[in-house]
Amino acid sequence: MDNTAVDNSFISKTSLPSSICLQRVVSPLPMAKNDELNAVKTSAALKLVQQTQAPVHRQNSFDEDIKQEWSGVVIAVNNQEFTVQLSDKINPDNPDEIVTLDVEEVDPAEQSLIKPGALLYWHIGYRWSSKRPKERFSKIHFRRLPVWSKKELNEAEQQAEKLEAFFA
Amino acid sequence: MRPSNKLKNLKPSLPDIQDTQPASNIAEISLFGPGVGECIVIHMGAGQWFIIDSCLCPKTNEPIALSYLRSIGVDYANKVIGILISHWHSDHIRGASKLLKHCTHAKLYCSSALFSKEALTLTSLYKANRFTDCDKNTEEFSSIVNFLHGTNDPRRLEFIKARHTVKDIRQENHVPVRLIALSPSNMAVTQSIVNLVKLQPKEKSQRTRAVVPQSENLNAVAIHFTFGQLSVILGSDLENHDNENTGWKAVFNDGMIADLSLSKAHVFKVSHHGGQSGNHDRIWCDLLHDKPLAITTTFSRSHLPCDDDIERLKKQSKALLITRDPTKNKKIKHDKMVERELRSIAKERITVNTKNMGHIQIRATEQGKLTVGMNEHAVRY
Repeated sequence: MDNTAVDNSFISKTSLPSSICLQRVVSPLPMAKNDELNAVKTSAALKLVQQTQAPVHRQNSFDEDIKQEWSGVVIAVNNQEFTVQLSDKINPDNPDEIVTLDVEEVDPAEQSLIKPGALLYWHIGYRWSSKRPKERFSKIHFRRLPVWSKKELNEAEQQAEKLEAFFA
Repeated sequence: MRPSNKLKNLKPSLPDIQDTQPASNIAEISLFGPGVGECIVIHMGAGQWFIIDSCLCPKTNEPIALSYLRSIGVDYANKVIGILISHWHSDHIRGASKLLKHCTHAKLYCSSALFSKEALTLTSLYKANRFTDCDKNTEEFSSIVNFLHGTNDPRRLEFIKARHTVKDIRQENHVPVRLIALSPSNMAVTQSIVNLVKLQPKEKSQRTRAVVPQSENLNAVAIHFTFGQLSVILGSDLENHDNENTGWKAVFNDGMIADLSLSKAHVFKVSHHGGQSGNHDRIWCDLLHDKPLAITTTFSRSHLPCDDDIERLKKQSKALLITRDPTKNKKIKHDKMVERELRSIAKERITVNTKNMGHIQIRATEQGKLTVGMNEHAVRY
């Protein structure tokens, strides 16, 4: 799946923050070759879509009211639990929180991404549609970052050798 | 076990900190801690200052050492002679690059493991990491490396390990001053580099935000500071390992206490935020006088110090001062629905409170007479 081709059917007719679209748009499918670019451009692409295209309401889509949004980083993984440090995206002045969760709280397709240093978003809110009643939801979504390339690793090693020689 | 309010039997607060420079014949040890973070500012006498570790002032976001020294009128550009990064954890190095830039006459001291090829590869990799913010450890360390490289003066960096003498003044008409490293041992440095190798990403491996391992405490630099008849142990995050050749065990097995004639100390900056992992019985027998003054910072992310730690430290010291109240865990006010959801999902929750900077200030004459003060955020047990 090409992540730059934003699936408009997921965008509801209400005006949503781009973070909600991100949750919808970024797929848990394996990354394509162009995903390096996509990972950087996703946020910008979403804003562009919101500005230039009229939102389309699909019959089965939800309206959402996001009450809380965090970005987080995994700081520890122990058996079936993992611990994340969360930064509040809605109230950035709030101090960070450390939360321990069951691995089962994460979509099975994304559980392999749970390792120290992994980045995630967590949204909590309400959602509803014309066919379904209002319900609470909590969605933890892991960011799929591009893999390291041989070129990057070689360049870093060369830079390290240069610095090591300077400080020796 | 997290600290509980039941334990709370605080003693009355001590006088406020003094807001003027100490006289040239008065030493000072100022310990700062905002909840997660630690910085020690030392006046070594004769107007010379030394800084160990760095954390940020929550109000100004600048290194607390700069804010403090400026507030008491110290010309830090010329009077700070050294900055020690005791180890590579963000609660000990935040703002260290800025300190280095402003304290233009200061050398940087740290373990050689931090400038090994393995560590430098990591900083180079994450410096170029366009896809994600690197973690604060790597970001800060990368800034330090870049700044030092930019000065084109490698002499501003000095590696430090056990037995290293940073300062040793023993001459007539001068207060004796010594600042000696108790750690890291050679084996600790080697092990630390081995751990850094494990962090090196492989080709086609998934990118993550770099995470400096907990084992980085291997590199922790504990210090023995002497000023006249006053001696102080500054324990950094040095831990007590199973290995006889690393951590506190290496300090005692090395024989350096006798070899270097290190006198017993009256003040102990308790290692690793008062946690049991930083404790070794011989610290209290071989390195400290009976019932020393114990001071420490909290590490609210890991509930340090916990109730048991506080009870143990109270028994071992004549007074225990902590930069923040470890039992205070200010909760964040979330939307009610969010709070309900969190309660149902989260197995444990901790708020990382870093909004107030605790400060403990100890001033001493060369005869070892102490004057201790603390600000409103610090507590006394």
